[in-house]
Amino acid sequence: MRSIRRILVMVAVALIVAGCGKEPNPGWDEPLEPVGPVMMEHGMVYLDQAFEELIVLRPQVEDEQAQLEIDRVETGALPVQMEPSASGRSLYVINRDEQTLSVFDIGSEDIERSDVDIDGVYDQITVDPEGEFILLSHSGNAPDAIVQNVNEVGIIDLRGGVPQQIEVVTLPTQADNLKFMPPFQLDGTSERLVVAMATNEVSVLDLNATEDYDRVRRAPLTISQADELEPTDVVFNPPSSERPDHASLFILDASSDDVTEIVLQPSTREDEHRRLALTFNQLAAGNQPHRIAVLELNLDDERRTKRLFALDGQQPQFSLIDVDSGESVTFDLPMSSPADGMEVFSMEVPGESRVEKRVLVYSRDSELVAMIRPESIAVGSDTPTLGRTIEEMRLSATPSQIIMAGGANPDRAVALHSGGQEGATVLNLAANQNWWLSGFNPSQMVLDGRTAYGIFGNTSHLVRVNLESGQTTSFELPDRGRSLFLSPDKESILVRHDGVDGRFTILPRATLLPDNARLFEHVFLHGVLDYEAIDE
Amino acid sequence: MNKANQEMTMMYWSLKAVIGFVAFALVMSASTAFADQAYLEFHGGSFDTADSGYVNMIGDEPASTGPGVVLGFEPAAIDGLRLIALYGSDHFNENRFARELTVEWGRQRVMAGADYRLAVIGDRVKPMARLAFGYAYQSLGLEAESREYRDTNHGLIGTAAGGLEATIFDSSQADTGILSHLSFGVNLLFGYSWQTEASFDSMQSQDAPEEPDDDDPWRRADYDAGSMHLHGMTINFGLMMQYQF
Repeated sequence: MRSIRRILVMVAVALIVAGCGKEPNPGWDEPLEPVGPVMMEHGMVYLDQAFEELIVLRPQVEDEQAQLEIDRVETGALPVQMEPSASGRSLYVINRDEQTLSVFDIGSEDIERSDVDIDGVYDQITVDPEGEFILLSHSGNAPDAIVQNVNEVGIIDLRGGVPQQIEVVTLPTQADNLKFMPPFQLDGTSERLVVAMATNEVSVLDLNATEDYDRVRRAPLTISQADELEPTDVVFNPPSSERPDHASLFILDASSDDVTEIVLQPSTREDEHRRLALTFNQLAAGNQPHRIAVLELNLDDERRTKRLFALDGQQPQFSLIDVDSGESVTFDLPMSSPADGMEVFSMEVPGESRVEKRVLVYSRDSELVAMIRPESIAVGSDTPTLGRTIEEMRLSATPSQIIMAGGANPDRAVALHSGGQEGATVLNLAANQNWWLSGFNPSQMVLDGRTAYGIFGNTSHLVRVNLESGQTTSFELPDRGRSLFLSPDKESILVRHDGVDGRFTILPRATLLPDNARLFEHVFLHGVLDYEAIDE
Repeated sequence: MNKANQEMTMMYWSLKAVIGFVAFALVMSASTAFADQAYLEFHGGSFDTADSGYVNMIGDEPASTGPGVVLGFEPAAIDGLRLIALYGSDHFNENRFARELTVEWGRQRVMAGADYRLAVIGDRVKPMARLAFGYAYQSLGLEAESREYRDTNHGLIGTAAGGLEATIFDSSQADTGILSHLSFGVNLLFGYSWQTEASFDSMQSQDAPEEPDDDDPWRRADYDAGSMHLHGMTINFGLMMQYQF
């Protein structure tokens, strides 16, 4: 009997040892909620935070049939944030637990990854539109950080490829609103500037500076302690050929009637060791402007002039300001409430061979949309071009958003309506016409030059609108669409349906019919049996 | 290929193989001396594997095995040897992703092999070894919001196990009647099984019609769920009955 007991004990021990193997990944007990998608040049990317993987979707059309390639790529430990590069080729992911930033080359077949040590719990990424830098900062909302310097900015310089380490700079204020200025030449020297906005001041981060005292320049917007200015936007005014040593930043503040101009010039004083000199200027810009833009205009005498366009936040007005002289002109808008949205675009003048800048302005509370021709406005002693300054267009319902078609059709736009109003409106800005598309409530629209696509909130249909002729065709879908995408190669339409496992219908744009389309389900569970369990 | 038909065909042929094996053993015994025994066992137990796919889908809980049936033949010529044919099934159900996904896995095994018992601790309790090899048929179903995808897999499986067999009622305890030919007992086996890779890379929608028709013109793409390597530990507890010729 003793030998039997011994055998049983040995077996029991062996079983216990064997049982200490793998544990299920805790992501299995949480609801499936991948973050995204991020549309990139070669694919659409979702981030599965629980399993620490990217889900890369690459829709294709082969032999007129819809196909979908799904790849799962490992990120580092606890990915918290992802941003595409400006070119759309690379994806940046912050791996919080490892304190690294991963750069994924989504364009390559194998999706290569390189890591940068960032040595900090950053959770925000600001991407340079030129692709030269990445900035990392803190949102201030990190739940488990023990110590956090919310004023610090991590700078990753990509000009020599992906670096091993980053440079850290501390700004005088919290760095939660960083905006890259476009590259420019100031008196022959290349400049790259980033502006951080904070209460009562902005900071200018000079990415090309070599000395510590040049790296961060502080620019207070007021010296009075009673003021509380909250800058909301920064607009860049590049040097012109007439004045190559003069660039400026226009700072918009929501509660002020003025726009602050910070002039940047190379420092010329002998006792000034810094390379940039900052001087300040205030421009009267109407009545609490909430949107501004710098417009380069061709006036009638062929000169190129710069004007600052400011949209009032309190009244239905706009102002046009000559930045050099400070003179301004204010116009009323043909609406009863202040305008919320504006779109600046260029358009061929009908009947003439020149291209003119236009500004489309709309309010969510008004059915009237205004198209402004800034080149027809005289500020000071200009000679403006002839013609009407403001053209009105009346829509059938108030617009919640206007999307410009862009590309081949800069004079077409689509206005979406909301708040229970049905339909959408196609605007022909050149002819000052619009077509009302009734009978549905498109919850999302995607535009590609000549064509717009929309899905419905309540039925399982897809609509295609020809923006030139107004022709509308509707197509069936297997289920109600939840969101709509144009594939990165622009050859197919993707509709995402409700369904926690990830359900997509892919339709080739050439036909949009079930014969060529395919429904892909369980997309977020691709290769689910091959997911890693966790070693105990 | 219609998966259900394929399943039925495999089961049919496997059953035929088992019956053929048993018939062959009986024929062989007819030509030898008396005291051959026929054997019947019902068993249940569990199967535990460390494969990631299994662990993620099910957790560290073993799948339940059973009920299983073993038919055997003990030739008197070789003491302790028993030729067996075995049918077993393993299965589990699980909810994943906060109950958003239901997973259903099942495996049916048809195997042939041999047991060997040695009377070292006396006649009543004997250490036993079992070796068997055969065919395994798996099916995997994933269901989210009443939409189900299913795939099946065919593979080879082998198992090796060791343990104890105990006779509770011996045929020699009764003098006459049917009970003088029957013995009853129990066994407990711990073992390990190996299986060829099971890939479920073309799971198909169970809601779509075979061919797109007017009601449902949409084609569903096959879903690739990956593969599992289901090697793992087995524990089986069995109730045995022997009939002596």
